Amino acid sequence: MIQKDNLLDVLVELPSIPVIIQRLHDLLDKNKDYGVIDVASIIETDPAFTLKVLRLVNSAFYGCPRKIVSVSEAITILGFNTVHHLLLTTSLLDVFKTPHSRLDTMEFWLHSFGVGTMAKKLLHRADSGTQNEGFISGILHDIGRIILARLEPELFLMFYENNESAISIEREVDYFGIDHATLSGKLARKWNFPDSIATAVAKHHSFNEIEEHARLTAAVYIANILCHLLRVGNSGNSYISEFYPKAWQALEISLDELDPIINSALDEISKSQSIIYNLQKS
Amino acid sequence: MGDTFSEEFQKQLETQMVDFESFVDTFVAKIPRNEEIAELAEVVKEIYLKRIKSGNAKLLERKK
Repeated sequence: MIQKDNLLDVLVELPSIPVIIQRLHDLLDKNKDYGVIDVASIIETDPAFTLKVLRLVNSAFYGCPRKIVSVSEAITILGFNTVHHLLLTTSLLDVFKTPHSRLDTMEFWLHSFGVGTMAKKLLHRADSGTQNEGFISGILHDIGRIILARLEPELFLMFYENNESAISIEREVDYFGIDHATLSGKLARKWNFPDSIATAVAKHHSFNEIEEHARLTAAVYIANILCHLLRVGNSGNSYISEFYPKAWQALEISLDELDPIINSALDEISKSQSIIYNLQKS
Repeated sequence: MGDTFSEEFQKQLETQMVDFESFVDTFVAKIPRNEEIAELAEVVKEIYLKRIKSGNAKLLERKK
């Protein structure tokens, strides 16, 4: 069992997020006047990331009439958020390749990417200033589960064999000494993501405990439920143990408005899926 | 030939729909105090069923 006292040691042993991603976050957070050249100059310091961006912009999906050879031009065509989100997604795929019989890596990431995309779409309607945070929170929300599988593979297997029906945060604490959502939040802090993201990630099963960042957390909470209902990927468990209606109310979206949100999210998930798989190979 | 294909396609669509509805119902049934999520789940069901019906209709049209 992971003892909470030893948690710091456990987190120190966890992989670091790629430096490029951290530098992009710093730029986004601290310099509101950043431009294409600033972003391109960070990406160009890493040949693998440069190649990913160029492969993406030159893929059939974007159908550019000529070959794009510069990162700055690619960012102008794709938009900063597209580049940022896809680099984050593929780099986390690299960091967390954890083979475990209970977790299929690609299905896990499809679920994470799905929740990120769905949260972004919900926030586009509810609070457009936090869409980027919604996407990142969604991508990270279940990452604690991969850490548990990696650190305690046998216990992890036993846990899921004995708890097939629903995720229970309390049961996870009984087994592992910590639950996956709290662990995801700790990792988000270790990786220097802002407090809003760390909170949304840590509370994505406990909306009842939320004091700050309610709308962002609600978006991740509801996006997770929608992706479970629509079976977008698989993060190891398909059910939830509790529904908090206040999370839905916090979004201030009516049920009538869900149709375009869900359809646009599913379209984006489906289009991005093949791009991510291809980038992953590069 | 075309009719057999359409029938097979329709059968697959129906299986897909029943499977989806049954999953959503199970998901909701497992949650205590589930009245409000049941309402949300019904809307999600409707949106998704419309989506797969329209997706399959487009596919079928392309095959003809």
